[in-house]
This record gives sequence, structure tokens and C-alpha cells, in this order.
Amino acid sequence: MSPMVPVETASDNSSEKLYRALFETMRDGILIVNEAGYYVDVNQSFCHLVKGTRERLIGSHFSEFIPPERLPEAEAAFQYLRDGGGTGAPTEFPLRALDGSIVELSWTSSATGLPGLYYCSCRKTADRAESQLQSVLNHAPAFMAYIDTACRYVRVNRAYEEWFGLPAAEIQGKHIRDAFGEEYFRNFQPKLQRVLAGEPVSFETQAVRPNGERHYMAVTYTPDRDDHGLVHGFIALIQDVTDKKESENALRAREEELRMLLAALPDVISRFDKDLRFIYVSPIVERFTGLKPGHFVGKTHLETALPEELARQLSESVRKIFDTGQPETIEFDFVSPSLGLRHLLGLGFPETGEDGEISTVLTIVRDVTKRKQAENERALLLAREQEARETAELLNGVGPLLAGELDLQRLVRSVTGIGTRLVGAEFGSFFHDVTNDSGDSYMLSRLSGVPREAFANFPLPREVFAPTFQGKGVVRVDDITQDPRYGMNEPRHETAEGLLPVRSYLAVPVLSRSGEVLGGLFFGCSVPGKFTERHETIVQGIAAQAAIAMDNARLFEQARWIQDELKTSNEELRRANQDLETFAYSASHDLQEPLRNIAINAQLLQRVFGNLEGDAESFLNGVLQGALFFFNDIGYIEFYTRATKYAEGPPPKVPAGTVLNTVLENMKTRMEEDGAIIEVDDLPVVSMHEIHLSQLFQNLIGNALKYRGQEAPRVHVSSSRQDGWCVFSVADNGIGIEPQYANQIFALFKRLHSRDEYPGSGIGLAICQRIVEQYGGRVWMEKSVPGSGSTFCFAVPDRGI
Amino acid sequence: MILLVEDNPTDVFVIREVLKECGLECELHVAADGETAVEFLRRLEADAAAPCPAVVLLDLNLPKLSGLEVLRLVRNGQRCSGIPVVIVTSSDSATDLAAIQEAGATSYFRKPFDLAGFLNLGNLIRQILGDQD
Repeated sequence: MSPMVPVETASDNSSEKLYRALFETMRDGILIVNEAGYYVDVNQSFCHLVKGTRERLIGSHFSEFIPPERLPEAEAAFQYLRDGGGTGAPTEFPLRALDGSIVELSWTSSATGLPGLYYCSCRKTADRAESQLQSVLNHAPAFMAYIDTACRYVRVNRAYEEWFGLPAAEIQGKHIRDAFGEEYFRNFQPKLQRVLAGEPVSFETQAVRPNGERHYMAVTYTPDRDDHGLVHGFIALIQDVTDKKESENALRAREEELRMLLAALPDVISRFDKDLRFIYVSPIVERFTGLKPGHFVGKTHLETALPEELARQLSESVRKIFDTGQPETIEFDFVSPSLGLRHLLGLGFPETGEDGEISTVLTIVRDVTKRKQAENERALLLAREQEARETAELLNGVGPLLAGELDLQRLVRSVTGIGTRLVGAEFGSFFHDVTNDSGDSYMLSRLSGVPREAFANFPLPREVFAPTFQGKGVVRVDDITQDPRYGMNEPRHETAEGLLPVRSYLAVPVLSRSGEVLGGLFFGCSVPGKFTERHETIVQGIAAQAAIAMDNARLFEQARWIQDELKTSNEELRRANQDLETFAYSASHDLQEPLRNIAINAQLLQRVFGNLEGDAESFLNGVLQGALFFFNDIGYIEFYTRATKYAEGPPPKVPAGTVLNTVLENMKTRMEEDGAIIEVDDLPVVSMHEIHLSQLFQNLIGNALKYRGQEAPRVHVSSSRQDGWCVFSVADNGIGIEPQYANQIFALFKRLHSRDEYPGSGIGLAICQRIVEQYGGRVWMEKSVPGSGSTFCFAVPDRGI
Repeated sequence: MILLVEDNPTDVFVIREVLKECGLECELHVAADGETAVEFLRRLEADAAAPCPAVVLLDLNLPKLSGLEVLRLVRNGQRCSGIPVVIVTSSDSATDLAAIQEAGATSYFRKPFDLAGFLNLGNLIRQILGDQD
């Protein structure tokens, strides 16, 4: 319900009409409100906004058209108006149209000047887009202005105002020249002309703020063209890029530093893109390649002037880093035009972009020539040392192999084979230095690597071989066919078909300890330059070992020959002894029978004839006596052979003292009868058959007792060791022997006295001599003084027991 | 009866004398070589009535067949294997002595160099015959 309000009408009809005309033609909705909030008048535009008629609306309360939730806001605004708040800032709140739709409106209001009446105008917020745009513009971080074709500011945003210290109201509508001065305008005029011609323009410029700060500005002029391309003005967008610019400058400075650093580095730094192209390469690359960085950038390795094979290798390496994401190392040789051969070490590793993908590959190439040289030298030294050690080991190994070989033929075969193998020769031979009657041939002892027939009927190159057979040291020739000594042999000059295709030649004499040339070792190879200093060392070593082994083998052969000779002699001696024993046996058995027959028959004759007289009696006795002596002597021969018979097997070790005791025990009765006194010293252990040693003692002591003087016999048995001999001596105080008989007494059946004076066989000392000679010793009369005794000695080898 | 196998007439003479000297007055049958001795022994084996010698005096070194072979035949015989055999020889070789002992000789007498020594043979025979009795 709306109370009726009396409307005061204008007194002047014509002014009333004018007002009405104006009122009705306003595009904004206009309403007049009384103090109570009732509509006093509305214009046509407002009627359209709320979709009601003037009649319907006049007299309505304003609250009727306001959505309830916005009502307090509207009432507060109205109150503000009534309280004489004057013109308020535009406010926005909606009205509810009569058809129920909500119409967004922005409002301005003011007092009318008439008491109790208030003026409100509103327009659809569709026009608010303008204010929204302004709002957006105002909040943009850039300075923006719209300038028309006459270079007048149409609009600026707040930032623009603030930055230039000019309020919008002051600047809008002004010509640029008027706003910033003639100089400013002229600076920008070319750009203004371009943008007004329809071309967007971007540039950077510096500006000095009113406070004196210098700033970098990024400026973009964008022409405002309508659908027909007609330019109505342009939008100037200005950004303060001072911060960005500064950081950019700092970055640029750092980049420059880096660049300088890279340039100063001795390493070549490169960066590659995914297409394996150089993005960057440090200037030092020129030092190595003679090519400037510019030659490389934008190219793959293969497109550069690098050698093709190397380029492929390097490019492949970069590709691999892209493929695997793993760092790569590559070592390569590069022939630098200025530096010569360099050994380079390249390191490459992937660089990932922000997306985590490998975007580039960075490589560092370092010149490691010196290090490599040092390494090579070290390796060479190590190799030499290793080689020397191997050589020594080889030679050490050869020694025992050869030393054990005593067969000269096999030894030569071994030496040749080993030598050929160790020096890696194709042919190896050992030649004795034997020149035949025709003077043109050396005896070929052993050939390795080729059948012996290859040398059959072939004269050897004695000019080439000569220095070796003269013992003049190693001869090593890289190509013997180029040697002046080669081809000097008449008549074939080493050109005969079938000659070994020797180029590399290595020969060493084999010298015996006595300096005699035993022969020469010769090695050959069909390729020239095969033998090195090391091979020389090896063959010298082999030759030395071979010489020793050959000396040994020769000695061994001599020793074997001597041994064989000795064996034969021994065999002959043994047979002779056996014959003698057999003879002695026959003598004692077969010869004594006829003697016995003579004796028996003689006795029978004596019996038949009874007592013969005179000569007949003594003749018959003579027959009998002779037969008897002969019979006895035959017995002694047998005894002699038996006593001196060779004992079988090696002589055992016997303590001479024990042997002597047994002898003395057996002679006890006889010694007691003679009142003999025997002195015995400590005697050594000797290597003899006991039967022989006891025979010696028995015979020598027996003689001492038999050939006694007036006094009771005294015998002293002693021994001494002299120069590898055990010397036993038996000294007595007997009758002694005249010195002139000293040698005769050892003869078989030699007697110095008649059987009547001293019975005996005359074989005792002969037996002694024969026994000690079996042991390589001897027996002798040391001294003898007729009437006061003699000393007999025998010596046998001292086995050091 | 005593069988003497001996080729040396002197020794036959001396032994005959010795037997006489020692009172061994029996028949002495003498064979002068090995074959004759063997012949005699065969007859002995063949004829059981033929008298066996009381002792055989056998020389070693005999013509045709050696004393050792004769001794072996004696020992291998039927009738006369138990007859005492005295080897009368001048050999004293150890080989001979070992061989005759092996072949079963009853005793051994080495022919001496003097006549008187032969008398010991008589004593030896007497002893053997005495043992038998």
C-alpha cells in the first residue's frame, strides 16, 4: 500500500515541459524520492528497468523493489542521502523488477535542492563492464594507457597515474607532448607513427622517475584496429623491467665470466643438443684444430672438418650419452695441425632440463699427451723389466733342462729346439766347426724347423758363419741378404734353389770353458728384422748354458769311456785271477798226485833196497826231498791264491782293532811260547774284507815273531791317517833286513834265508802285497836296521770312518 | 772181501801191503777204473748169491767213470747200498769233500806223502768193520 503524496507542480508551464522532456529522454533511469522513501516521479528509462508503468511506480516505496537481503544496505544509503551526505560514490545494488527478475544497477544519487526530494539515477550494470575494465586496468602490474590517433590520452590506469605522478583527470584528453614535453614526444614519435600505421611496436627504454630513479621499461604499443583495419588508437603497455634487467645483466656478466673462464681453460668444453650439434665450444678448440668455435656451432661432428673416422667416433659417443643418460669417457689420438700427435681424453655427461629429460650433453676434452707419454714410458719400462725377468726365467729353465742331458746328440737337439722356440725363429741349427777336406762344409749337427735334406749337398755360407766359428760373439742381422758377407760363397753365392729363405739372422758361438769353439747356434727367419736385443740376450744365455752342458756331456762321455775301459780291464783282471785260481787248484790237486807217486815209489825203493850205500842213498833222498818241496810249494800256491782271492761285493766297514784282537787270540799259544810282547794303539775303522785285514796282521806279526833276535820279540802295532790314507805300521825288534833286499822281499817265494834257518813258504809278504793292492793301497818296509828290527807299513784308502 | 777201486798200481800195492800189515787178510778185489767197478756192482745186484764186499775203497780220480759216479751207483743199488765206502784220494779240495759227503761216503782218507801214513787207512778200515760187527 502506498500513501498518496501531494506533488507540487512547477509554476512555469514552459520550464515544466523542458524538465519533462529532459527527464524522459535521459538514458539512465531517474527517480525522485521523497523523504519517506516514496517514489515521487520516475522517468521512462526507469520504467523500462523495473518493467512497470509510471502510474504503477509513482507512490511506491523504494523498498518494494529491493531484494530483502540488500535492503539494509539500500536503507543505509538512503539514510546517508537524507542526512545531507551529498553526492555519494556510485553504489551498486540490484532492483527486483515487477516481473520478478533481478536487475543489477549502479546508482548515483544526490539532493535535488528541493526540500524533501532526492534525486537517484541508475543504469544497468551492463555498463559496469566499463568500470570493471577500469578496475582490471587499475590492478594490472603494468602501466597502461589508451591513446587516440591524435596522440591524446583517452584513458590511463592507476599504475600509470601513480608512476608518472599525474592524476588521470589531469592527463586524460591531453596530447602526449603536453603531458611529457616536446623532447619526450619526439623520442617516441617514430614509434607512435609506426603503431598508428597499424604495426605493433615493442621496445625497451629507460625512464627516470620523478624521484630520480632510473628504470628500465619494456614498452609495447598495440594498435587498436576495428574490423575494417582502421586504427582508432593504440594501447601502450609499459612494464618496469628494472629488476629483470638487472638480473639479466648480472646473468650476462656471470656468463661472460664463465665464458672467459672456459676460454682460459686448457680443456675444450662443448655442449651438444639432441641433434648432436655443437651448441657451444670453447675457443681453445682452435688451438687443437685450427678451427674457430664458429666452425663448430650448429654442426654435428660429422659436418665439421674433423677427420671422418674420429668425428663418427665422437658423435657416436655423444649419442650414447643421450641414449643412456650415463657419462662416457673416450680416449683418442688426434693429429693437431699445430701441436702434432696429441692424446686426448674426453669426458661427457648429460645435462637435464627442467622437465627432467636430457636436454644437452656437456663434454670436456683434455690433452693427456704428457700423461699418456709418461704412462707409455712406464709401460715400456715395465715391459722391459718383465721381458728381462722372463728372459732370465727362460734361461734359468733352460739350464736344468740342458744340464741333465748327458747324451751329446740329444743335448744338441734340445739346445737347438729350445733356442728356436725361445727366439721365435723359423729355423734353428747347431753346427760343429768341422771343415772337411774340400774346405767348404760344416758338419750339420742339428736343424730345427726344416728337414735335414734341405741342407743336403748344399754348401753352407761360410763367410756368414765365419765370425761365429771364430768365437767372435753374437751376430744379429736384420736382413742377411743385404749383408756384404752374404753371397760371397763360390760358386753358388747363396742363390741356389732350395736355400732356406732366411732374412733375419742370429748366430752365437758356443764356447767351452777352455775357450774352444764347440760350435755355433744359428737361427733364421724369413721376415727381416725379427730378432731383437732381447733375443740376443736369450741366445747368449742359451749358448752359455749349452756350453756348460756340452762340456759336461763331453766329460761324461769321456768318463763313460774310461769307465767302460775300466770295466773291461776289471773284467779281464777278474778273469785272469780266476784263471790263476783255477791253475792253483789244478796245481794243488792234479800236480801233487804225480809228485806223491814219486815220493811213495821212492820210499818203496828205499824199502826194497834196504840201506843203500853212498851216492845211491843220497840220490834217492834227493828224489824224495825234491818231490816233497815241490809238493809243499804247490800247496803254498794254493794258499796264496786262496788268501788273496777277490772277495765278492763292496768291502764292509770293520774296526781294525777288533780284527787284530781276533788274530792275536789265534796266535796266543805261539806268542806265549816266544814270550812275545805286543803293543797295540787305537786303530781306526777301515773299509776292508775282514779276511784280508786279518791275513795282513797275521803275516806281518807272524814275520815279526819268526825273524826274532836274541831278545824276546816286541811288536808295536799303530796307525795314522795321512792324506786320505789309513796307514798301519807293525814295528818289531827282530833281525832286520838289509836295505838292498827291501824290494825283493815282496816277491812270491822270495826267501832271504834257507828253509833250515827259517822255515816258511816265502809267500807271506807277497800275499800282503796282493791284498793291499786289491784295495788300491800298498805295503812297504818303512825302515829296517839289521839286528835291531824293522817296521812294515801298509796303507789303505781312508774312507773317513 | 774188500773192493778197491784204484787205477794207480803203486797205491794198489801199498794198500795191499797196509791191509796185510794190519791183519785184514781178506780177499781184495781190485777194479782199475770206474767202469770195471760198476760192472762188478751190477753182477752183485744181479746175483744174490754173489758175496757183497765188506767195504769199498774208492779213489775219486778214475779213468772212464769218476769215483763220485761209482759212489752214487753204490748208494742207488739194492743189495750194496748199505756198504761202507771209504773215499781214498789225494784231493783235499773242499768241493770234492762236500760232493762225496753229499753222495753218501762213509769215510774219507787222504793219500799221504809218506808210506807210514798209509797205515792209518788200515786203522780206519778196521774201525769201520768193527763198527759193523
